[in-house]
Amino acid sequence: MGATTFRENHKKDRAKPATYLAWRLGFVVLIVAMFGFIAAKSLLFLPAKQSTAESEPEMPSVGTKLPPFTLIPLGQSLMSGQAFGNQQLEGHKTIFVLVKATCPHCLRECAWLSSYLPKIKGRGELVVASISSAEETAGFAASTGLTEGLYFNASPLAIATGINSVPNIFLLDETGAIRFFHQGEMEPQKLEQLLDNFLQGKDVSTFAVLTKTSFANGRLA
Amino acid sequence: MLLTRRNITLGIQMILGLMLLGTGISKAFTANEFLSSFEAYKMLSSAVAPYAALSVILAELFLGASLLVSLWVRWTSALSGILFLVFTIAIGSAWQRGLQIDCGCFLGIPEPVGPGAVFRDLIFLLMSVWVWWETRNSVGITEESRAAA
Repeated sequence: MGATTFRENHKKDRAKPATYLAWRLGFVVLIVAMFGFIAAKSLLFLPAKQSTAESEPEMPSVGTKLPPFTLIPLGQSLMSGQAFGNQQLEGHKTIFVLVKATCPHCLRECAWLSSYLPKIKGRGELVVASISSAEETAGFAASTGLTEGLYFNASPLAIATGINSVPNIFLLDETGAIRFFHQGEMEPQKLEQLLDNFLQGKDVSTFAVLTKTSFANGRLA
Repeated sequence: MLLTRRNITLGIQMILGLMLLGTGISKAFTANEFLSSFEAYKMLSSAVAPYAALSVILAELFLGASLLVSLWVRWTSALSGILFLVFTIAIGSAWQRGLQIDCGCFLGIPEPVGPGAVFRDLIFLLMSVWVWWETRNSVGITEESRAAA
Protein backbone atom coordinates (compact mmCIF):
# COMPACT_ATOMS: atom_id res chain seq x y z
CA MET A 1 0.00 0.00 0.00
CA GLY A 2 1.50 3.33 -1.04
CA ALA A 3 2.13 6.14 1.39
CA THR A 4 -0.71 8.60 1.72
CA THR A 5 0.43 12.05 0.80
CA PHE A 6 -0.13 15.11 2.87
CA ARG A 7 -2.32 16.66 0.16
CA GLU A 8 -4.50 13.56 -0.12
CA ASN A 9 -5.02 13.37 3.62
CA HIS A 10 -5.76 17.05 3.74
CA LYS A 11 -8.45 16.62 1.11
CA LYS A 12 -9.97 13.74 3.08
CA ASP A 13 -10.04 15.83 6.21
CA ARG A 14 -11.73 18.72 4.47
CA ALA A 15 -14.41 16.39 3.14
CA LYS A 16 -15.32 15.10 6.62
CA PRO A 17 -17.93 16.74 8.86
CA ALA A 18 -16.91 19.81 10.75
CA THR A 19 -17.17 17.89 14.02
CA TYR A 20 -14.21 15.75 12.90
CA LEU A 21 -11.67 18.29 14.07
CA ALA A 22 -13.94 20.44 16.20
CA TRP A 23 -13.44 18.64 19.51
CA ARG A 24 -9.69 18.72 19.15
CA LEU A 25 -9.68 22.36 18.15
CA GLY A 26 -12.10 23.07 21.00
CA PHE A 27 -9.80 21.34 23.47
CA VAL A 28 -6.81 23.36 22.33
CA VAL A 29 -8.73 26.65 22.36
CA LEU A 30 -10.13 25.88 25.82
CA ILE A 31 -6.69 25.08 27.25
CA VAL A 32 -5.06 28.15 25.73
CA ALA A 33 -7.92 30.48 26.69
CA MET A 34 -8.25 29.21 30.25
CA PHE A 35 -4.60 29.11 31.27
CA GLY A 36 -3.63 31.96 28.97
CA PHE A 37 -6.14 34.17 30.76
CA ILE A 38 -4.64 33.23 34.13
CA ALA A 39 -1.16 34.12 32.88
CA ALA A 40 -2.29 37.32 31.17
CA LYS A 41 -4.11 38.44 34.30
CA SER A 42 -0.92 38.14 36.32
CA LEU A 43 1.41 39.57 33.72
CA LEU A 44 -0.53 42.34 32.03
CA PHE A 45 -3.26 43.53 34.35
CA LEU A 46 -1.10 44.49 37.30
CA PRO A 47 -1.98 47.48 39.45
CA ALA A 48 -0.76 50.57 37.63
CA LYS A 49 2.41 52.00 39.08
CA GLN A 50 2.36 55.60 40.22
CA SER A 51 3.84 57.60 37.42
CA THR A 52 4.68 60.96 38.92
CA ALA A 53 8.19 61.41 40.20
CA GLU A 54 6.90 63.17 43.32
CA SER A 55 4.89 60.16 44.40
CA GLU A 56 7.75 57.66 43.96
CA PRO A 57 9.25 56.82 47.34
CA GLU A 58 13.03 57.00 47.51
CA MET A 59 14.91 53.72 47.43
CA PRO A 60 16.99 53.02 50.54
CA SER A 61 20.59 54.17 50.33
CA VAL A 62 23.70 53.84 52.46
CA GLY A 63 23.72 56.27 55.39
CA THR A 64 19.95 56.66 55.62
CA LYS A 65 17.60 54.91 58.03
CA LEU A 66 14.59 52.78 57.31
CA PRO A 67 11.28 54.67 57.40
CA PRO A 68 9.07 54.03 60.45
CA PHE A 69 7.67 50.51 60.44
CA THR A 70 5.92 48.06 62.70
CA LEU A 71 6.56 44.36 62.31
CA ILE A 72 4.73 41.61 64.14
CA PRO A 73 6.68 38.59 65.42
CA LEU A 74 5.55 35.33 63.87
CA GLY A 75 3.09 33.61 66.18
CA GLN A 76 1.93 36.93 67.66
CA SER A 77 -0.75 39.40 66.69
CA LEU A 78 -0.71 43.18 66.57
CA MET A 79 -2.82 43.18 69.74
CA SER A 80 -0.22 41.21 71.69
CA GLY A 81 1.85 44.37 72.07
CA GLN A 82 5.05 42.69 70.93
CA ALA A 83 5.55 44.78 67.81
CA PHE A 84 9.03 45.24 66.40
CA GLY A 85 9.87 48.77 65.23
CA ASN A 86 12.76 51.07 64.35
CA GLN A 87 13.83 51.53 67.98
CA GLN A 88 14.60 47.80 68.26
CA LEU A 89 17.27 48.22 65.58
CA GLU A 90 19.49 50.34 67.77
CA GLY A 91 22.35 49.12 69.93
CA HIS A 92 23.43 46.21 67.75
CA LYS A 93 24.23 45.30 64.19
CA THR A 94 21.21 44.05 62.25
CA ILE A 95 20.92 41.87 59.19
CA PHE A 96 17.52 42.91 57.94
CA VAL A 97 16.01 40.82 55.13
CA LEU A 98 12.78 41.70 53.37
CA VAL A 99 11.11 38.67 51.82
CA LYS A 100 7.93 37.26 50.36
CA ALA A 101 6.88 33.79 51.52
CA THR A 102 6.22 32.46 48.02
CA CYS A 103 9.45 33.78 46.50
CA PRO A 104 11.84 30.87 45.73
CA HIS A 105 14.90 33.13 45.90
CA CYS A 106 13.88 34.27 49.37
CA LEU A 107 13.41 30.65 50.41
CA ARG A 108 16.92 29.73 49.31
CA GLU A 109 18.53 32.80 50.80
CA CYS A 110 16.77 32.39 54.15
CA ALA A 111 17.49 28.67 54.27
CA TRP A 112 21.14 29.59 53.92
CA LEU A 113 20.79 32.36 56.56
CA SER A 114 19.27 29.77 58.88
CA SER A 115 22.52 27.79 58.68
CA TYR A 116 24.53 30.98 59.19
CA LEU A 117 22.50 32.00 62.28
CA PRO A 118 24.98 30.58 64.85
CA LYS A 119 27.68 32.92 63.49
CA ILE A 120 25.37 35.93 63.93
CA LYS A 121 24.52 35.20 67.58
CA GLY A 122 26.28 37.50 70.01
CA ARG A 123 27.53 39.75 67.22
CA GLY A 124 24.30 41.00 65.74
CA GLU A 125 20.67 40.21 65.07
CA LEU A 126 18.85 38.67 62.15
CA VAL A 127 15.48 40.15 61.24
CA VAL A 128 13.53 38.53 58.43
CA ALA A 129 10.52 40.70 57.56
CA SER A 130 7.86 39.09 55.39
CA ILE A 131 5.37 40.97 53.27
CA SER A 132 3.16 37.85 53.23
CA SER A 133 0.42 36.88 55.65
CA ALA A 134 1.12 35.23 59.01
CA GLU A 135 -0.01 31.85 57.64
CA GLU A 136 2.22 32.04 54.57
CA THR A 137 5.12 33.27 56.69
CA ALA A 138 4.67 30.29 59.04
CA GLY A 139 4.98 27.98 56.01
CA PHE A 140 8.06 29.94 54.97
CA ALA A 141 9.58 29.40 58.43
CA ALA A 142 9.00 25.67 58.17
CA SER A 143 10.56 25.52 54.69
CA THR A 144 13.65 27.54 55.58
CA GLY A 145 14.24 26.14 59.05
CA LEU A 146 14.29 29.66 60.52
CA THR A 147 13.05 29.43 64.08
CA GLU A 148 13.63 32.99 65.23
CA GLY A 149 13.78 36.52 63.92
CA LEU A 150 10.79 36.10 61.62
CA TYR A 151 8.22 38.87 61.36
CA PHE A 152 5.29 39.67 59.12
CA ASN A 153 3.35 42.85 58.23
CA ALA A 154 6.27 44.23 56.21
CA SER A 155 4.17 45.40 53.23
CA PRO A 156 3.91 49.01 54.49
CA LEU A 157 7.70 49.12 54.79
CA ALA A 158 8.12 47.75 51.24
CA ILE A 159 5.74 50.37 49.91
CA ALA A 160 7.36 53.19 51.90
CA THR A 161 10.82 52.29 50.57
CA GLY A 162 9.65 51.82 46.98
CA ILE A 163 10.99 48.29 46.95
CA ASN A 164 9.71 46.42 43.94
CA SER A 165 11.35 43.03 44.16
CA VAL A 166 12.47 40.55 46.79
CA PRO A 167 14.63 39.44 48.50
CA ASN A 168 16.29 42.59 49.88
CA ILE A 169 19.10 42.61 52.37
CA PHE A 170 19.90 45.61 54.56
CA LEU A 171 22.91 45.67 56.83
CA LEU A 172 22.26 48.17 59.60
CA ASP A 173 24.79 49.51 62.08
CA GLU A 174 24.24 50.10 65.79
CA THR A 175 22.38 53.36 65.11
CA GLY A 176 20.00 51.72 62.65
CA ALA A 177 21.65 53.41 59.65
CA ILE A 178 21.97 51.43 56.42
CA ARG A 179 25.56 50.35 55.75
CA PHE A 180 24.74 48.10 52.81
CA PHE A 181 21.67 47.42 50.69
CA HIS A 182 21.15 44.82 47.99
CA GLN A 183 18.15 43.69 45.97
CA GLY A 184 18.01 40.11 44.70
CA GLU A 185 19.35 36.75 45.77
CA MET A 186 23.07 36.67 46.44
CA GLU A 187 25.55 33.87 45.91
CA PRO A 188 25.97 32.07 49.27
CA GLN A 189 29.77 32.45 49.15
CA LYS A 190 29.49 36.19 48.50
CA LEU A 191 26.79 36.57 51.15
CA GLU A 192 28.94 34.77 53.69
CA GLN A 193 31.91 36.97 52.84
CA LEU A 194 29.72 40.08 53.13
CA LEU A 195 28.22 39.08 56.48
CA ASP A 196 31.59 38.02 57.88
CA ASN A 197 33.01 41.45 56.98
CA PHE A 198 29.99 43.24 58.36
CA LEU A 199 29.98 41.39 61.67
CA GLN A 200 33.74 42.00 62.01
CA GLY A 201 33.02 45.73 61.77
CA LYS A 202 34.54 46.23 58.31
CA ASP A 203 33.15 48.77 55.84
CA VAL A 204 30.79 46.93 53.50
CA SER A 205 29.24 49.91 51.72
CA THR A 206 31.17 49.22 48.51
CA PHE A 207 30.98 45.44 48.65
CA ALA A 208 30.48 44.15 45.09
CA VAL A 209 27.99 41.34 44.58
CA LEU A 210 26.60 39.31 41.73
CA THR A 211 22.85 39.12 41.83
CA LYS A 212 21.46 35.70 41.00
CA THR A 213 17.95 36.92 40.47
CA SER A 214 15.05 38.41 42.33
CA PHE A 215 11.33 37.97 42.45
CA ALA A 216 9.99 40.84 40.39
CA ASN A 217 7.26 42.84 41.87
CA GLY A 218 4.35 45.01 41.07
CA ARG A 219 3.25 41.81 42.50
CA LEU A 220 4.61 42.38 45.99
CA ALA A 221 1.58 43.52 47.93
CA MET B 1 4.39 -5.02 16.86
CA LEU B 2 4.61 -2.41 19.54
CA LEU B 3 7.93 -0.79 18.63
CA THR B 4 7.00 0.35 15.16
CA ARG B 5 8.32 3.59 13.79
CA ARG B 6 4.83 5.06 13.99
CA ASN B 7 4.35 4.09 17.64
CA ILE B 8 7.72 5.51 18.60
CA THR B 9 6.82 8.76 16.87
CA LEU B 10 3.45 8.81 18.61
CA GLY B 11 5.20 8.23 21.96
CA ILE B 12 7.64 11.09 21.34
CA GLN B 13 4.76 13.29 20.25
CA MET B 14 2.86 12.53 23.48
CA ILE B 15 5.95 13.14 25.65
CA LEU B 16 6.51 16.49 23.96
CA GLY B 17 2.82 17.38 24.26
CA LEU B 18 2.62 16.48 27.95
CA MET B 19 5.86 18.25 28.74
CA LEU B 20 4.90 21.45 26.91
CA LEU B 21 1.38 21.49 28.33
CA GLY B 22 2.63 20.77 31.84
CA THR B 23 5.24 23.52 31.80
CA GLY B 24 2.77 25.90 30.14
CA ILE B 25 0.19 25.34 32.89
CA SER B 26 2.75 25.61 35.69
CA LYS B 27 4.07 28.84 34.18
CA ALA B 28 0.54 30.22 33.83
CA PHE B 29 -0.08 29.72 37.54
CA THR B 30 3.29 31.21 38.51
CA ALA B 31 3.48 33.83 35.79
CA ASN B 32 5.16 36.44 37.99
CA GLU B 33 7.87 34.02 38.96
CA PHE B 34 8.35 33.07 35.32
CA LEU B 35 8.57 36.75 34.38
CA SER B 36 11.23 37.18 37.05
CA SER B 37 13.25 34.30 35.59
CA PHE B 38 12.61 35.65 32.10
CA GLU B 39 13.90 39.12 32.99
CA ALA B 40 16.99 37.63 34.61
CA TYR B 41 18.18 36.58 31.13
CA LYS B 42 18.58 40.29 30.36
CA MET B 43 17.72 39.81 26.70
CA LEU B 44 14.62 42.01 26.49
CA SER B 45 13.63 45.34 27.99
CA SER B 46 11.34 45.26 31.00
CA ALA B 47 8.58 46.90 28.95
CA VAL B 48 8.55 44.03 26.45
CA ALA B 49 9.31 41.18 28.86
CA PRO B 50 5.73 40.60 30.16
CA TYR B 51 4.40 40.28 26.60
CA ALA B 52 7.23 37.98 25.57
CA ALA B 53 6.73 35.87 28.71
CA LEU B 54 3.00 35.62 27.97
CA SER B 55 3.77 34.63 24.38
CA VAL B 56 6.02 31.81 25.58
CA ILE B 57 3.31 30.55 27.96
CA LEU B 58 0.62 30.72 25.25
CA ALA B 59 2.90 28.98 22.76
CA GLU B 60 3.64 26.17 25.20
CA LEU B 61 -0.06 25.72 25.98
CA PHE B 62 -1.08 25.73 22.33
CA LEU B 63 1.69 23.46 21.12
CA GLY B 64 1.34 21.07 24.05
CA ALA B 65 -2.43 20.73 23.70
CA SER B 66 -2.21 20.40 19.91
CA LEU B 67 0.42 17.67 20.08
CA LEU B 68 -1.56 15.78 22.70
CA VAL B 69 -4.69 15.63 20.54
CA SER B 70 -2.74 15.24 17.26
CA LEU B 71 -3.95 18.49 15.82
CA TRP B 72 -1.79 19.77 12.95
CA VAL B 73 1.07 17.61 14.20
CA ARG B 74 3.46 18.48 11.42
CA TRP B 75 3.18 22.20 11.97
CA THR B 76 3.05 22.08 15.75
CA SER B 77 6.11 19.84 15.93
CA ALA B 78 7.94 22.28 13.64
CA LEU B 79 6.92 25.20 15.86
CA SER B 80 7.95 23.23 18.95
CA GLY B 81 11.35 22.75 17.37
CA ILE B 82 11.65 26.48 16.79
CA LEU B 83 10.59 27.14 20.40
CA PHE B 84 13.20 24.74 21.75
CA LEU B 85 15.80 26.31 19.46
CA VAL B 86 14.99 29.72 20.95
CA PHE B 87 15.21 28.27 24.47
CA THR B 88 18.55 26.66 23.67
CA ILE B 89 19.96 29.92 22.29
CA ALA B 90 18.69 31.90 25.31
CA ILE B 91 20.11 29.45 27.84
CA GLY B 92 23.38 29.13 25.92
CA SER B 93 23.66 32.90 25.73
CA ALA B 94 23.07 33.33 29.49
CA TRP B 95 25.57 30.57 30.19
CA GLN B 96 28.19 32.17 27.94
CA ARG B 97 27.61 35.59 29.56
CA GLY B 98 28.31 34.01 32.93
CA LEU B 99 24.88 34.75 34.37
CA GLN B 100 24.22 32.67 37.45
CA ILE B 101 20.46 32.49 37.18
CA ASP B 102 17.72 29.94 37.33
CA CYS B 103 16.85 28.42 33.97
CA GLY B 104 13.12 28.98 34.60
CA CYS B 105 12.42 25.94 32.43
CA PHE B 106 10.43 23.89 34.92
CA LEU B 107 9.10 26.17 37.61
CA GLY B 108 9.37 24.71 41.06
CA ILE B 109 12.50 22.80 40.04
CA PRO B 110 15.44 25.20 40.38
CA GLU B 111 18.07 24.58 37.75
CA PRO B 112 20.96 26.87 36.86
CA VAL B 113 21.61 27.78 33.25
CA GLY B 114 24.48 25.69 31.93
CA PRO B 115 25.42 22.76 29.75
CA GLY B 116 22.83 20.46 31.35
CA ALA B 117 19.93 22.73 30.44
CA VAL B 118 21.31 23.30 26.91
CA PHE B 119 21.74 19.57 26.37
CA ARG B 120 18.21 18.81 27.59
CA ASP B 121 16.68 21.42 25.28
CA LEU B 122 18.69 20.06 22.38
CA ILE B 123 17.18 16.63 23.07
CA PHE B 124 13.69 18.17 22.98
CA LEU B 125 14.64 19.95 19.76
CA LEU B 126 15.71 16.65 18.21
CA MET B 127 12.47 15.01 19.38
CA SER B 128 10.47 17.77 17.70
CA VAL B 129 12.47 17.37 14.48
CA TRP B 130 11.86 13.61 14.60
CA VAL B 131 8.09 14.08 14.86
CA TRP B 132 8.13 16.71 12.13
CA TRP B 133 10.14 14.45 9.81
CA GLU B 134 8.04 11.35 10.46
CA THR B 135 4.78 13.19 9.78
CA ARG B 136 5.99 14.96 6.66
CA ASN B 137 3.57 13.00 4.45
CA SER B 138 0.52 13.22 6.65
CA VAL B 139 -1.75 15.72 8.32
CA GLY B 140 -1.29 13.99 11.65
CA ILE B 141 -0.49 10.60 13.06
CA THR B 142 -4.07 9.75 13.82
CA GLU B 143 -5.19 10.74 10.34
CA GLU B 144 -2.50 8.61 8.75
CA SER B 145 -3.42 5.68 10.98
CA ARG B 146 -7.03 6.03 9.96
CA ALA B 147 -6.08 6.13 6.30
CA ALA B 148 -3.90 3.04 6.70
CA ALA B 149 -6.74 1.21 8.43
